[in-house]
Amino acid sequence: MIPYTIDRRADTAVSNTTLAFWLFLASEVMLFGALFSAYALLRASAPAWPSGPATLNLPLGITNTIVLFAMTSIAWRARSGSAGRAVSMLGLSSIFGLAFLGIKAFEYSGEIRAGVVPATNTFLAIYFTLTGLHAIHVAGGLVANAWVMAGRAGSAMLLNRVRLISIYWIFVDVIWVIIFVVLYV
Amino acid sequence: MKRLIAVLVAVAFVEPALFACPVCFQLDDNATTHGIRAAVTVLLAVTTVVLGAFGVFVTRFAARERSLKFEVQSSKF
Repeated sequence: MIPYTIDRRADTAVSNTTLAFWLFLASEVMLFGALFSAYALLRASAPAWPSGPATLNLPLGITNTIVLFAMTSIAWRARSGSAGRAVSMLGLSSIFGLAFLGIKAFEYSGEIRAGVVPATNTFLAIYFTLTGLHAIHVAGGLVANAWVMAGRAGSAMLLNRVRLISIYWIFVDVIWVIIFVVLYV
Repeated sequence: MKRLIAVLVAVAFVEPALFACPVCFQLDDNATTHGIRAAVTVLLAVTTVVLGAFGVFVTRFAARERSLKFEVQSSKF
């Protein structure tokens, strides 16, 4: 059995949890990579491709980008300092995460009311698929934030979890930036 | 093993059909073909990055293991 330890191994130079987390992120990259491949297929084979800014709500997309960056920045700052500070910073970043989901839900509702649904065209199908999966990842990250904050882990273990979650939020940011560039801009 | 790899490389260079992607080989040059090519390229790029990261990790892992073995051996004397 692999022991749960936060000590760095001499051979891998990282802890077991960190290594497992990077493996998880590699699988996530493949998941989104497959969807971006589907996007490339649809876009390159489409006779006409709708304009992102004309179809989607660009101001809301920009707002969500800023909110997500702010959230990740706060989560990243939670890495340094005491366990108490880390928990409060993580709580603050979770508020920004909830704001991101709220804005996304508002954007979705406006689009659906306007008849802009996945069945309209392939652009919107891949838009709802990519942004929906990304929103699920944000929601999953918020659950992980809550788990870390509510957990009774010791100070060192808690800070290790915060470090890993901040890496996850960076990943979520990078995926959002790619989505934003290929769909909204 | 080295001989087998050399034979495979030689066959790959001799037989041009082996260069063909099995998905889009002999497809008409239309929009669907372009789409498939773009999709395959994106997926190959993503896979290359992930496998490259694995490769770097394994290489560093092996180097660290060698240096640790050396440290253990030198500490015995």
